[in-house]
Amino acid sequence: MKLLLPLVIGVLFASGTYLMLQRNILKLVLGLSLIGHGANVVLISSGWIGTGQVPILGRDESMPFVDPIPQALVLTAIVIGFAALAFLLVLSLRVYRDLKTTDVAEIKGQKG
Amino acid sequence: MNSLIFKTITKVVSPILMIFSLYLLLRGHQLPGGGFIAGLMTSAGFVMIYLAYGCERFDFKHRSRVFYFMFSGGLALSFLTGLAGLFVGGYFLKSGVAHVEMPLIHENWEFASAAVFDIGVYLVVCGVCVSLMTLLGEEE
Amino acid sequence: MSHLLVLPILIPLGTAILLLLLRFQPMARRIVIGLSSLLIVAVNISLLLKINAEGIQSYRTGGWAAPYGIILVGDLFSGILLVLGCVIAVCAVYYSFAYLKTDAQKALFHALFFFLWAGTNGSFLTGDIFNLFVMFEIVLMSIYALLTMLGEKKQIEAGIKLISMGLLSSALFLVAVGGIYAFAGTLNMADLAVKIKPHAHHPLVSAVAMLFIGVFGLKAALMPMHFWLPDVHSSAPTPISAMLSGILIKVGVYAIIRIFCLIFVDLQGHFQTFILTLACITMFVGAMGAVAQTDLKRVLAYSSVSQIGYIFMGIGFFSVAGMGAAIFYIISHGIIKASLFLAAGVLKKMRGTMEMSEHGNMMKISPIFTLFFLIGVFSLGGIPPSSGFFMKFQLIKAGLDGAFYLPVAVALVVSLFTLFYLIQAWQKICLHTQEKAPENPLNPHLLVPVGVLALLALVLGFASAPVIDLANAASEQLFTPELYINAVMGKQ
Repeated sequence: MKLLLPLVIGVLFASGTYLMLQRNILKLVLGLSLIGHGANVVLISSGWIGTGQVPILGRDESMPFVDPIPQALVLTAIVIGFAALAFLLVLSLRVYRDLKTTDVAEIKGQKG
Repeated sequence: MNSLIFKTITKVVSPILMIFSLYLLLRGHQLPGGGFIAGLMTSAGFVMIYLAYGCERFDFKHRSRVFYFMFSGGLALSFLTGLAGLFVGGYFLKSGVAHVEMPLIHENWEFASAAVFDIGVYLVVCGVCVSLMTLLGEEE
Repeated sequence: MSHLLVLPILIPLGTAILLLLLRFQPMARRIVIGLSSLLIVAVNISLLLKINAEGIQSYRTGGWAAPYGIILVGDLFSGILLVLGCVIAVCAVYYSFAYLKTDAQKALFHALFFFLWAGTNGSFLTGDIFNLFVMFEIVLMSIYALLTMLGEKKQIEAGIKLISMGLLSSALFLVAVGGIYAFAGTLNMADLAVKIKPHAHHPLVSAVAMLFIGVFGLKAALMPMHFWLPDVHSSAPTPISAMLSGILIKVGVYAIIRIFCLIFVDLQGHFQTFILTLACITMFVGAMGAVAQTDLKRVLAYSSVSQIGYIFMGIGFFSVAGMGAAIFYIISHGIIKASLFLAAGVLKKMRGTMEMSEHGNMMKISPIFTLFFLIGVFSLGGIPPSSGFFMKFQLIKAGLDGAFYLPVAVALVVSLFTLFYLIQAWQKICLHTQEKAPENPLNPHLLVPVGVLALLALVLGFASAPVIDLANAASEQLFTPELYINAVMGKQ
């Protein structure tokens, strides 16, 4: 597990960056969402201790807890990311209806 | 989408989803659950209806005002809970708990102001998600 | 315990919710907006006076004590920014009534506008790094909607750019918060300052500081991250352009100042050359961009980039005088730039375009507009006795005192360019002859906020001494982080 989380974060950020560099606007949206997930995993891992049990509800007093704060933070971050992504999707849909294209370069070309 | 299987399943599943979401909302104070997931689950029920029957059957468009007031009212409810904390508890967002002996069943029930806040969150999430879906699905 | 500190967030938030509920009652909305705007101004000014008299204030939301709950903190710097924000916001609100056409637009606009206001005030007041993130997101989310609500193609394109920028910067912000939380185990900024102090030169701390510069620099449009600003600021509805350039890019600047004067105090010397270099490049690139534009709002937007460079130069000196100059620069530039953007909106209403070649003859059409515009131009160009002269003078004096000759030289050269592109724009719009008559007559209601802000800039020039003293006091407070830490952690 100690190695797994950094790997997951790395893969999420790398694939997100790759997708963001594509010209399709939908891939941009997906890439941004992957990067957002990567950031959430970073935040979760900041409070993670190997064999800790569930915070607050854990029954065994002698076992260490997982820090609950990053989990609360991640919940907030997920909600915010969800809203922003929904907005970006609506905008891309709007662009697609107006301009009949998903190519970022073409969207930029048709100004005015 | 015009699939008989999906329509039949929707009839059974979406009421269960919505009732289960209320259960999630109410248990959220002490156990996993809460306003946000409950709201998402309720709107998932609406999404199923929308996908199976289109926007005519439930008439989402004409009810858009209902969902509008649902989320602005939810926002107001959550805000007022915070304000109540300021006036009663002395700090903005101060939460309080009351233990009330229920009549007839003789159980001690716990009422927390945080639960009211959560109901506000539930209304916001549900209203926003359904409005968003209606807007996105428009003029296809 | 006084609730004054939480009111600048509560009143706009409550107003926004009330406006959502009153969507179909235009008259009631008008009254609510008027009353609560005045209330916010009164609260913000009395908060500034209280901070000035009694020192740094703190407030525990939810009644939770310092390192655990979210603490709101008001020091002089945040007080100043709150007042600046409310001056610009009131003008923008008044302007929007005449600027927007339909009532449906107004309903949406004003509700979002008050959410934006609440978020801005919240970012200035919060003492918790994650709460800062949440406030930033409130600001950004309202801006996304306000930018694209009129639905012009240019705005949608700018919206996609802005949201991509916003999502990326929030992801980086989260990574930075995760890093600092893993290191110090707290999110309260005062507590972080205490816990990080002994490990200031740990590599992780430097990495997190660098990430924060990236995140906040993206919001403040520091040089390599300025690409989104000209599009967004020039295509937004005019009252929002004024808010964006006047106060919202300063939110990013505020955050950088706050973390470098509180959490990463010992890294100041470490990052000095870096920040100064970026500042110089930002100044230069922004001015060069502005010279090349033909669209008035784009000129102003590029000029904002350039002016952000000046502010960062003041920060980069990391001296009391430099920071004081930067704070005065923030105040003065906010007012002037808001006035200029609102003036540009007046022109847009008249001819439906911002291309400067399409405009002209304003001297004959409206001498008053010409005068207000000229005040703005002279102030931003730094001609005495306007406030713009004092803001540049203070900055350059601080630079010479600290023996930073190269940045000062760049600043002086760039200010010549500033004067050049502004005078050129003014001349094209006001003096050149233009055969085509304007499509719409000039709306006097639109001129009121332009005039108020322009005169304020002038007054700030004539009576600059008390404001400069206030800015210097704020800067001194920033350089004694113990005061802040004691205000948060001390009296429980």
